[in-house]
Amino acid sequence: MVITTSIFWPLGLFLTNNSHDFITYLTPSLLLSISFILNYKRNRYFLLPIVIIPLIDIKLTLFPLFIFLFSLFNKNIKTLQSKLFFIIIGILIIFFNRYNFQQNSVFKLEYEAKQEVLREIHLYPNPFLARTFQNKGRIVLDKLSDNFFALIDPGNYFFSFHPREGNIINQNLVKLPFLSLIPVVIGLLNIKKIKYDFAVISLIAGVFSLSFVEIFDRSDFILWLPILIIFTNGVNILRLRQYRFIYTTFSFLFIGFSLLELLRIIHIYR
Amino acid sequence: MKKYTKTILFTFIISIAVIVRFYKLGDAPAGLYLDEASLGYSAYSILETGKDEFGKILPIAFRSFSDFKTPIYTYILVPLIPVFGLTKFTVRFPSFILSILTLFFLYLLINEITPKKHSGPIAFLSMLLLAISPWHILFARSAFECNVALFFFTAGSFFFFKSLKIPKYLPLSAGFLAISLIAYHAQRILIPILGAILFVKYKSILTSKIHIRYLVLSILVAIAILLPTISIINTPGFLARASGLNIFSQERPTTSGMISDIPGNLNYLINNRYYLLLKEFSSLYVAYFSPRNLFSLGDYDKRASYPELATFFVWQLPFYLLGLYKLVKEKELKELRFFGLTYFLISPLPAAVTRDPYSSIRSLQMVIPLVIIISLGIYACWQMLKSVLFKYTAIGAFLIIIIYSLTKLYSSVIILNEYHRAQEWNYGWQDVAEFIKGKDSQTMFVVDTARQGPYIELAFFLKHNPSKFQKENFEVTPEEYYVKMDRRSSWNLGNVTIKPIEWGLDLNKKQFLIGDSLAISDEQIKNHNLTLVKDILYPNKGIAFRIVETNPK
Repeated sequence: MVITTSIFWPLGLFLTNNSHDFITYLTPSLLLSISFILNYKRNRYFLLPIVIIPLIDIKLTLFPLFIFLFSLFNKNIKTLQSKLFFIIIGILIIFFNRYNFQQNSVFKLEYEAKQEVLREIHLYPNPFLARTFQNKGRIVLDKLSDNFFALIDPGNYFFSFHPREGNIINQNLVKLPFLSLIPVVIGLLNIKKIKYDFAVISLIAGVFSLSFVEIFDRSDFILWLPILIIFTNGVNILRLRQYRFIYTTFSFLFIGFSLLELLRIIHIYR
Repeated sequence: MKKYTKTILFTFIISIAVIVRFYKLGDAPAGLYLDEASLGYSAYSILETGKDEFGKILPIAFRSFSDFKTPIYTYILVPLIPVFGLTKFTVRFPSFILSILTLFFLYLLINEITPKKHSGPIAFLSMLLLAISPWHILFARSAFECNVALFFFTAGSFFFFKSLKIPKYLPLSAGFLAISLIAYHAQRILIPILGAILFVKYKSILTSKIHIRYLVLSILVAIAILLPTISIINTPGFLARASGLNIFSQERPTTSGMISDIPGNLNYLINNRYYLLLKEFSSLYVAYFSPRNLFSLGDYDKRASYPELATFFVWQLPFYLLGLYKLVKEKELKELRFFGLTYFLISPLPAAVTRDPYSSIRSLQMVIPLVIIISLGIYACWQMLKSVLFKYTAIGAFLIIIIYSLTKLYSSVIILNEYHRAQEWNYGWQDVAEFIKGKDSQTMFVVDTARQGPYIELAFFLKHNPSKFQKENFEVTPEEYYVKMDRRSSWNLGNVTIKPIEWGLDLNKKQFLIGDSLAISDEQIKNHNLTLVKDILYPNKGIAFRIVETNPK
């Protein structure tokens, strides 16, 4: 099941993009994988591959900082100096990328959005109320929350945003088999049982950092590996002895439907 | 929790609920949606003649535009019209009252099913969240049958759990749930599923010596209430709604996700109807749990949501996630856990079998488990706070958030909704009716039918005599009422004819033509030598209707 599930998103990404774009969006995930392996082997430099990610995809500029911040409590970073070192690195990355990142971020304000705020201000009975609900900060917050909610929407990962595809600029890829929703939910509900807490950290850091990007499409491939680990956690729980019958039945259904979906991916994107 | 604290909290929350629901009840939305007008005029017709506008004596389901409406809302309206008149306020009043009563029953229900040491805080928090819920407020401020069904559903659920200890409440529960079933289409799916689950779970109690005779009585009560509806269950009228919207319906030519140009046997595999239907149903079902729909997008239908507001406030998201986690994990919540999870999982089913993405109308019953879940999340956070200072700070922050939420409601419900969504609420017909009333009865009017349902809006606002309406607009015999689905294409309300404008014929006599800016454009006014008498404008200054006068040669 894990192998079948792991094919979907990369295959969709490969078939819908040219080779240059495919490599651009695949590489950050590969670097994250290296980081995962180093972390698994308790290597103290496991965060170093993540530093390279913003150099490949500018939209992931905030990703290292979020990872470093959330990793503060990670057992593998032992000294305060190391913690501070990585946080400073994260800030420096943002500093050097600031101009290019801003052009690709939610902080870029469009003329029409500003005009809309100005139009709506006149509807309110007093300036205080008007300024509370209609201000330029709202434009940024709206974009940020639109992205954040799209990134935590199960429809995004299991149904290509169906039934509400139209609300966001996206390739609407088939990212995971739709039946994998069940193990993912089980995995999330048993998140405490994930021994590999770096997966949870990178998932949250990925969602947070992508929320700040104007269009997160394709850069969100960075979430592929963390989601796969949550899925594996769910599968492992289903495999426990007391659920053996459910697991066996579900596996057959899962493999059958997933193969059908893989066939469909090839036909849709060929 | 002390008794006077409870009284103060209860009064405070009910007051908030009344204020946010009652303020400008008849005026915001300023328009009257055609379904609301239809409910009002059918009730008026029943009151005046004992028949609906089609001449059917006390219908079991009310013939409407392309389907049939459930009857409970209309019959509740009938005795209110002599008191308040046929107005927008009257039409929305039952929704308002029943929404307040829903809060009351929610409080009782949570007290009944929650372990004693947690019941007070969770009950009050749930009440407060429902009181300020944009989802519940929308349906409490407009005439929707789903809101009536929600009241009966909540009350029926309360009486059921009460009956597990005091069996005499069981027939009352059956009665309320049966009324809920006929009060709105979605409950036709939900109530039987709920009934089966409750029976299986509490089989040993319900079939015990003490309960069994009440169980039999309950079944009889339910059958008695449902019997009229059962009598029309096979008619095209009753089935119209289900077959039109159902994703499993054979009437749908294609299924979502079909890939074209797949040859032969591979097509059978790739475009397998059962696979596609299962996937579509799953996607629609999951959409009702998605934080994106619940806290960010809301209903896609502009009439079933407010601008800049989803079904819940954004700040409730973390509590939703935490509350859900608690509900799944904490077995000590017992009955509340069973109730919360069961209702949470089954509530979206009726909506998920229809093709609309995230319909807040058909899934309204989900608001009950959701406010409980969010309350659980808030309560869990509160329990994590150990120091008194943190607790006072949290209370202060919570009060600020509630005040912010209330002002946000004012911004969206009263200001932005009126400005942006007047068209969706059929704004302008009242002004058209006022114009018509201002002329003598000899003046002729033609109202264009490009927009759906103008006849019912005008019949409502003109308070057109129902017996005259029945005579002038015959559509079906009482025997064919639930069977014949054909509709008229023109209507007469005395001196007002409602039909498509015919450029030529309608210009030959002196009369007023009424239509929107597409039906009567500037060019048509110029070409047909018409006199523009009045433009009725939306609050955003767009043209709602144009009234022109003909100048025959």
